[in-house]
Amino acid sequence: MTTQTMSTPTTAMGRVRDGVDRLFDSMLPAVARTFNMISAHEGPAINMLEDDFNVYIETELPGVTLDDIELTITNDVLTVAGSRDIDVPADTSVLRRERADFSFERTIRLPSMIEIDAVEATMRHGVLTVTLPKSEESRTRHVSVTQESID
Amino acid sequence: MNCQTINYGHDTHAQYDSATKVRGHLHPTKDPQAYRAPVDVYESTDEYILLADMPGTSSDDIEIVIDGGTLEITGTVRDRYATLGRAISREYGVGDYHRHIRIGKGVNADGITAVYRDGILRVNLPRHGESIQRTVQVNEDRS
Repeated sequence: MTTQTMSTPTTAMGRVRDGVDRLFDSMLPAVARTFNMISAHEGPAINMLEDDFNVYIETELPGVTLDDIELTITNDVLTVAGSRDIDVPADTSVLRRERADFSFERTIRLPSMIEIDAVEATMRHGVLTVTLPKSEESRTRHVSVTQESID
Repeated sequence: MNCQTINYGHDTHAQYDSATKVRGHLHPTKDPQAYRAPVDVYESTDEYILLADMPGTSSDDIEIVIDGGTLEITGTVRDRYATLGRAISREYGVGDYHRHIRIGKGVNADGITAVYRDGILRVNLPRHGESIQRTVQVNEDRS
């Protein structure tokens, strides 16, 4: 073992330390947000909300545009698929890499039938929101008690 | 790398004294937890480039402060669920982002620029020059 081979990494570390290196808040909780994915198999985490007329699906996909996303709805099943590739700046070397490329497909069951033609998807600041209007059938489930009395 | 010698030096911030509690008193009405945005750092001959995943905030809600050789990024996330009805299932939490990054003498703080687009913050840090106290304006890329 020679001293030359030892000095090379030391020099590199000194160079890095003078630049941007110590991201020293690793004690902050790296809570699993969407883009960390639930798992490689299940895809991104999804938050689902509803009001009387719509179901809302939200997922965080930084760096993904609507063109990168494919939404498929069949009856009450929604599939969202997409991917992103990290845009590595040209002519650079990597000092730190925490972000990841990803490719996903996730299928979830919706709480009600949907008016598929009226579904809207928006992407804003890396957050995908899909607004899914409930079908007439689904809404009448709310008033099934009054229908019973008609019989 | 001697992380234990670092003094945060900000009276307005709570101590980072545990793995779970983070500056809870800064936003007493919100979820007290801040999220650590994942960061890439790239190096070229004339600059460093930092990319951070911070979906759901905005250029106006991102604050970048350079002070004492530290780059501090805070991204405030507004409650976007207030008008979206009631939750059926919540698989992830929504909250602010926070990140401390030590920058050394090799960065020219005066030349730092930042752009926010598609939920990703990009900070360009030119090399060389003295680190001084500064606040960076974040621009939004609408192209």
